[in-house]
Amino acid sequence: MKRLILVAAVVVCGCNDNFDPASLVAGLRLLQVKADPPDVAPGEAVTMTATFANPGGSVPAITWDACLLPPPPATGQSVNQDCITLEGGDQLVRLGTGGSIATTMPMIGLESVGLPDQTNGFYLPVRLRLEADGKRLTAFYSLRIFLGALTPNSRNMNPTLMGIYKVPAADAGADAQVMLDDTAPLEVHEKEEVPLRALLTPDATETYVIFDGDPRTTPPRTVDETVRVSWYTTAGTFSNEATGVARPDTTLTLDKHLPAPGSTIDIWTISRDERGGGDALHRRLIFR
Amino acid sequence: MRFALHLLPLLASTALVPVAAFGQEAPAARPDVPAARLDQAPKLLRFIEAEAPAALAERKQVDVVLTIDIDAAGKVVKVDVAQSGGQEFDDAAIAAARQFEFAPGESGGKPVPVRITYQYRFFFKAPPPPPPPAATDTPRVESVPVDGRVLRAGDREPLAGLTVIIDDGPLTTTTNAAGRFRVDVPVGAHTIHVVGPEVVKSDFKVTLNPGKSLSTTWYVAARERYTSTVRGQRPVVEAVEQTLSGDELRRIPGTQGDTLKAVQNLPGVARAPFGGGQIIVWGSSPQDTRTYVDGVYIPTLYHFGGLRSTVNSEMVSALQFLPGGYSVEHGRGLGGVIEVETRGPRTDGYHGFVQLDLIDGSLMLEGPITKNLSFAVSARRSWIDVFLPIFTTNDFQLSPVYYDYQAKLRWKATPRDDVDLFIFGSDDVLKLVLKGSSDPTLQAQFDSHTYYHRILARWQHRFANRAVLTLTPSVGYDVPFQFKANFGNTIVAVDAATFEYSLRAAWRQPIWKELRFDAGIDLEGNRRYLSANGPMRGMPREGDSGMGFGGAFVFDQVTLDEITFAPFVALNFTPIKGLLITPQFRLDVFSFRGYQTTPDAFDKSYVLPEPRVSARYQINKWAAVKAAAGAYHQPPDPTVFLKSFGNPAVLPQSGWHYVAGVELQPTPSLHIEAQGFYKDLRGLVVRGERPGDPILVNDSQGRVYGAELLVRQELFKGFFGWVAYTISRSERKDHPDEPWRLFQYDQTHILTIIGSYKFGRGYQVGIRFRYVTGNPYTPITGSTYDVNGDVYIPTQGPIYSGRLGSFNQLDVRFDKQWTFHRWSFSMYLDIQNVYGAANPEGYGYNFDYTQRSAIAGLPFLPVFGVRGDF
Repeated sequence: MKRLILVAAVVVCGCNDNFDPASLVAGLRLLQVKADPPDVAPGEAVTMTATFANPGGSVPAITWDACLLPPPPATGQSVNQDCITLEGGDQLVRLGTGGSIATTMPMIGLESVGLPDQTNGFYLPVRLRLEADGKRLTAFYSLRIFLGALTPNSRNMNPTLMGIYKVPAADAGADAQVMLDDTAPLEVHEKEEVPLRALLTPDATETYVIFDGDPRTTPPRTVDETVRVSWYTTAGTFSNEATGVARPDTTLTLDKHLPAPGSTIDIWTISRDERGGGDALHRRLIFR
Repeated sequence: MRFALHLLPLLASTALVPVAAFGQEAPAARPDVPAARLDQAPKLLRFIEAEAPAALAERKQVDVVLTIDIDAAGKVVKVDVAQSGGQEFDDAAIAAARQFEFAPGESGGKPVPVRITYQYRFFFKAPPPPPPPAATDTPRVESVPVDGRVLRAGDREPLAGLTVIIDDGPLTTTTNAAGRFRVDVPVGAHTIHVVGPEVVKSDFKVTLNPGKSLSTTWYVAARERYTSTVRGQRPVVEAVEQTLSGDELRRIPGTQGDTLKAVQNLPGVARAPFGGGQIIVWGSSPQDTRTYVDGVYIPTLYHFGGLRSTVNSEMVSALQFLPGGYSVEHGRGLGGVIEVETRGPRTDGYHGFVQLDLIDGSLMLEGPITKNLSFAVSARRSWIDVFLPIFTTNDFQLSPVYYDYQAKLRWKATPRDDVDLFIFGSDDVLKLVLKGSSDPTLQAQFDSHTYYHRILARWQHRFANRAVLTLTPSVGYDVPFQFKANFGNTIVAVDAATFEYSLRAAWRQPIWKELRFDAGIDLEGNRRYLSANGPMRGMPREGDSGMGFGGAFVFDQVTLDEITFAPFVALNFTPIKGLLITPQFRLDVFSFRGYQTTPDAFDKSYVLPEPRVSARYQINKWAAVKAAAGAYHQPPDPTVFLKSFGNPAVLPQSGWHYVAGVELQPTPSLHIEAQGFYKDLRGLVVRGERPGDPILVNDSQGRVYGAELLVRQELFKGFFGWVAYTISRSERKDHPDEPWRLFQYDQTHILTIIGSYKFGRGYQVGIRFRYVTGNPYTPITGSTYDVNGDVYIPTQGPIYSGRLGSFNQLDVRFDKQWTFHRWSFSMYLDIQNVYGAANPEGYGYNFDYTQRSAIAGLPFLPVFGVRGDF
């Protein structure tokens, strides 16, 4: 409540930080980790792929470690804060290196991974360290542990992105949308407003059961999965940094952080569901 | 040669100043502890002319300023010279004043002792020429009756005790309690003067015709409203106490006419961020300070954000602020106490007001129902939600709505019994939509609805042996906090509802002149329904180490029966003249019962003795020293008893307060007070962070030490104001093996300067300047990316090891009042942050915490309002 009032006061008083938005990729960034499958039973194989960016820099070296330090139950957190700085030992299990790794979900007990989140999921904390050009970025991906018959839900699936489209003028009809294709990059110009759309496959959203409220009086709730699509770019600004299934459109305005004419502008769309699933698409635009 | 003597009783601008707290009962009691505002000023019923010294013929005019102590029966008990006019004149004025008779002043519906400042003016007028020898055949001069009524312009209050002088005398009379007078006056043209301590001298020209009486109503301008403070008879003496009362306090800049917001300007009170309503007293958490209305606890004094108090200022006679070291009458808190005393309805006719400004509108109506029964009702509703869309964006929609209401009945059952019935409440609704995306499933919505309602009755009986019994039972229903947030499929909700009941009983028994025995019972209980669904980490707590990754979601609910019961006793003992020692004892019994009929059921009781003592020595007429020490306990916050978010086994928190200081009163209206304080806090509730710890533990301890100074000029010749300065340090040690750290709201220096001046003709200008050390903050040293949540989790440095820049702000307020015969109209412009200081209230960070910028507080903010009183 007090935080709300603080937020309200900040907005009412017109405070403006003028920071670059999170959607602008100007340095070493990790944008996504896609696990396939996203719901992994202990002992089962999984492939994890990092989507990263480092405009103007070198390709980062990436290390993947599973942290088996259980978070203190009293904190209610999913990752033990000590995992951030842990530099070895039995609690840190190296899973691999590189942009994509194939590994196996460790045979661990649930007591090692903390308490379930709001989707009733347990997760294995996977630490990624990206190092490039003297910079280091630490990130955690929570790999969902498939519990089989312990939950009423079937396996989660990644919300797959079909493509990124340039949306035509409103009177041209939805069918006239044009998929962006790196083999023939779209040319864009300064001050241009580029309407874009990210579409997911029809089966991208699933339903699942959650338990909230008093279990004695409140039945489990079946909910539609919410998929969030985040947009990133190396130039310009988005009207919506996040879109969804119902409103998939945003507009890229080429007004700031523009590259030299003839250069490439990178854009990414990253999909995330609420249970660790995701997908990523990367496209290039030619700035004229 | 003869001298004509005219005596003009003129009240000095500081009309009333306090008298001793215990009147004749305990003369050593502190003479400068205000306790309540006067509802009814003393009325001069019998005026005695002084014998004019012969020197008046030479000096022509002499003024003697007296201080007159009037007891609760209206009898003059003491007269002192505050400003001499010469020995002969002083003696004459004192001799006359000792024979005055008054209708006593009243506070809280009962007569109270009051000290007034009275200016006695002697002036010389040559005697009229001797009348010619009476002729036996001269016809007798006919007189006709004049029936008059004198009312105060603006609010039509009858003015009693005014002197009505026909021409230059010697024919005079006095108005009665209804403001009426009757006098037979010779026919012809006359000028009738109305003079008195409350009014500006007024002259009325009349022409009286033979055989025709005159009936008239005259409206006279008030010199000053009776706005100062009085010392009521409190059960016990407080070591440190500030009382706010009076119309002038409504005109402090930055308060938007809200008397109760003025408490934020007192020494020992830290500045709340963004001008919010948190009361942070002597380095304690806001929730450690308890607020009472007529002795009954309320969960919040202000509507959200501190916009307005939840009790209409017009219903309030005084606000008593006890920052620490307070008496056994209060407990259950480690911070301070705020006691709001409401006033009785007016009985001299129907009155009220309507007030409108950019934030809200309010109205009030009061008056008599029968001779012994009177009523007052008031209500307020905000409309800031109408204006906020101007400031918000399409992505951010904020809709706050609040209202409050008060209704009071006062029944003077017998001369010894007063009965009040007071119904009041407050309701706040907040809706906030953060769009952030055009997709509705990605938007966030926050809703909160909190309220409280109370019904209290108060019966006071005054026994023939001077004992006084006060009983105050109450019931209420509250939702002290409630919150629901939707983020996609995720629902975070906290609900609390309580049925509240309380009983406060106080018995005050004078035993002999040097000893009085006070005893009472302070009972509060409630049945509380608590439920929460959300991150197990729960609500933010002071000293939290910040955000974490993801987090477990849990649901929990409990029905909590909480009974706290505290008998208390105090002896007010005066072993030698001027020394008052008050040993006190309070026995707090806390009982908590939850999860009834389940395996998690708990039933815990704690018996907590709280010895306290205070002492005060009046060195001389204008200087006193004082000290106090005492033990205090505070029940854990109710949410702690939700086992999934807290720990039902946590113990009450405890503390010791120590205070010592001096008080000076160089003039009747100038008050200087300085004190040092130390607080030792133990068993504070913090998060368990070691392996095996429960979620919350009693590991933390705190220490607060500092000093404060208050120089306060009460209303005098149109000016009032104060300078308050506090230097302090508040620290916490979260776990025994950790070092001391700063408290979240530690503010080393707090300086507040307030001044207000009435220019006359209804114009008034006030300023408020504040300088405060910036709040501590926790620096951020880096961040880690949470891939699933697409957010960066900040890495924090040592808790509260940084310090924001200092705060300084000037506020100005302009008032203009037009007074008509039957009503008055006023306008005000209240401008906050006149010079637009960009005071930092925190830091905002970019998405990965690699950049930051200061978040400025309130900008230049003018608020305009109008008000009509009748």
